[in-house]
Amino acid sequence: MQVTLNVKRYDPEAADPTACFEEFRIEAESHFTVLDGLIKVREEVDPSLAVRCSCRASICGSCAMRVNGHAALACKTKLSTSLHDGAVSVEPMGNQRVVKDLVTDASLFWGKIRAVEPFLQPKGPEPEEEYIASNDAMLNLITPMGCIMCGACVSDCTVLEVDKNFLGPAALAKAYRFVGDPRDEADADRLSTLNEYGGAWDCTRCYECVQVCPKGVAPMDRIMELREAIQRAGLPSTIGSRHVDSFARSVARSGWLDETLLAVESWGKFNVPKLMASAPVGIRALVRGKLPKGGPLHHKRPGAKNVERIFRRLEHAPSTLAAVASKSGSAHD
Amino acid sequence: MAAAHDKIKELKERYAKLPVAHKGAVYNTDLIFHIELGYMLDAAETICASGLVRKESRGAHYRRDIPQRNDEEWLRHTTAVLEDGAARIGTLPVTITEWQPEARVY
Amino acid sequence: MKYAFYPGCVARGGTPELYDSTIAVAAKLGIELDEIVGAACTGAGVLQEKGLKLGDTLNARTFALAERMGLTTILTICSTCQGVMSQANHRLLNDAAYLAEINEELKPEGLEYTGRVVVKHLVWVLVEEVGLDTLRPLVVNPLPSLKVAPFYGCYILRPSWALGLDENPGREFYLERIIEACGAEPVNFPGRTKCCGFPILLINEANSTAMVGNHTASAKEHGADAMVTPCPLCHLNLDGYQPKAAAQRGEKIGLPILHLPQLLGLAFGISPKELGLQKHIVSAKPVLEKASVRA
Repeated sequence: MQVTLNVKRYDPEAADPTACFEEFRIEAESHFTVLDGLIKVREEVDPSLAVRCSCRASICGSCAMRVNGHAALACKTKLSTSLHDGAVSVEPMGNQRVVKDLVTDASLFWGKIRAVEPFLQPKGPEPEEEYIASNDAMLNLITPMGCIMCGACVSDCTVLEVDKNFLGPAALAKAYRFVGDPRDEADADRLSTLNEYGGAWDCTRCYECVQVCPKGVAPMDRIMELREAIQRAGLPSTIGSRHVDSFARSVARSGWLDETLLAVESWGKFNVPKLMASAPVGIRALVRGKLPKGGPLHHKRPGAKNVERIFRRLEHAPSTLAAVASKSGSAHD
Repeated sequence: MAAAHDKIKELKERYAKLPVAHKGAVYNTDLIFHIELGYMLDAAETICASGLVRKESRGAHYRRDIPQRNDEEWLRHTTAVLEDGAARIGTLPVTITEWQPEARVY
Repeated sequence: MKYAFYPGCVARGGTPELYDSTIAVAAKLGIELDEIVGAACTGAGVLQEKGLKLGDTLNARTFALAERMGLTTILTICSTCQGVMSQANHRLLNDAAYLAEINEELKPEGLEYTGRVVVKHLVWVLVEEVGLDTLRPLVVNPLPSLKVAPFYGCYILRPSWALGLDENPGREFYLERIIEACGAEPVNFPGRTKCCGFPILLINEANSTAMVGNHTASAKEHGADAMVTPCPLCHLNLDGYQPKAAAQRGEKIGLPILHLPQLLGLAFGISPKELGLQKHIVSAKPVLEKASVRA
């Protein structure tokens, strides 16, 4: 079949190094991946096309790029199912410096991975032989351990788009992998760092990383488990944890969310400058007649006592990570 | 195998005249593949030349004309040295420690 | 057509105009909305941070309440409610033991979720059940000069496997199709499926506001006169924090943000007042002018 690859080109050595799309028409086999198509372009049409790839079997993580606007491994994406009117668009990953054409600089990615200290930190005397973890204790870590460091999640992270200080999905999923490991005993330090700006609370829960991860790591789900672990660790409350608590209190009490109280409680009741700064938004809303249904007071919804009962039963029921992080069934027993 | 050896020699001659189409200094895969091809030809020649010299079959090295192992003459390492653009094949003795050589019988 | 209506917290609180415009548009379309009395918040992904089971139980309770009403399709008007409920339902329907465990929690209230509920956002119902052919004849006031940028909201699209996009890949473009059905012109822009920033508004306002600024400004650069969203949380941020975003960028933006039923309502000839268009922070007047409607 005849296909068109619209490839975003960038050559830092060109007289005008502005990135722009170039169209390549090739004859593709039905089994072709997007990477097969790009390799064919490189081998038969334009040897200057820069593409990074190695295993061609979605194991090495070298060929992450944006296909039709979303990050993917080019070798795991079928060309035939990526076509819109016979064409596919291929761009380098986002949020990272483009070296040339489809090749991005991985230093931002690795800097963030390094920042979470991605190695076991046991305490106490070394065991005679190796550190052993029970099979059960490690089951929950299979997903984050599947990470192949391709950078797809970092490419499409909507927070990194506006703030490069955010640790980002890959590094936070990696942090989770060690927080959840029964042999690691640096949880308190790790969680305390992740409780700060740039850590677990800065994720905006947009699911981009879950959607684009080629290995099912679901980094955002791991970040949510880190938040849970932070709350259970009894660390000093932050806006993030107060936000969750306030939200929970509101729903537990009345069955639904009280937005005003949420803002007040998240910022801290005594954070006068912040509350004053937000006042214009609230005042503008009132002036425009944005009165909640049923009046400005937050009423209980019918059945609220049943909601309250569910909260009493389940608010403190731990999810998987918390169960593992409690270090039951740990290495040393 | 002799035909393959000749073919590799011919490819090496052609390779010496092969230009690099793309001249860029940044992430130039055309240049990388050019360099890699040269090394691959050296490796291919080494495999071929040493296979021709080793007149026996052993492990993954299998010759249909000599299917038997010959420990008397060939319980030796093969060495290859690049000399005047071609592989010069030699041998070195093998030091046997814990594992004794055995016939592969599966 | 009768649906178990789940308006969500924000349509009842911060964006009452969404609630009102939904009721007005549903009446025109002959959609009967039977509100699920006593349904709790879905958890919006926030309660899920306290553990999945809490949120899944609250949502199973809502599904059970709908079943008790004799209805099996829940209609939502919020991308976030839709996403959180779809995911909860996905988990409950794929694990019988888990569903049984959660039903134990519902027993004291005499409820049981039998797994028959389908949760659908208004935008899906419009295209898949009402049908654009039914919708088009109701457009008495087509909006041919209006360029509208669709803003989907994360939770109605991702993860695609929990939101039926694998079976219905068209769902990724329904807003465009509805905009066209209203006689307006959809505008493509880089932010259309990205995050509005609302979930971190209270945690990192600068980042959240930067997202608002990026999306509204880029939609405008791509020629949009207005933006339409099926998510009231996106609306709260894109509309309410747009003035702050503009100040942060040091430039004017002024892009009116419409709730989906407001756009439909305008095309159906419903009065702007009834649709609550005067309740927005960013004035919707330019839209009314383009739509040749008096405020």
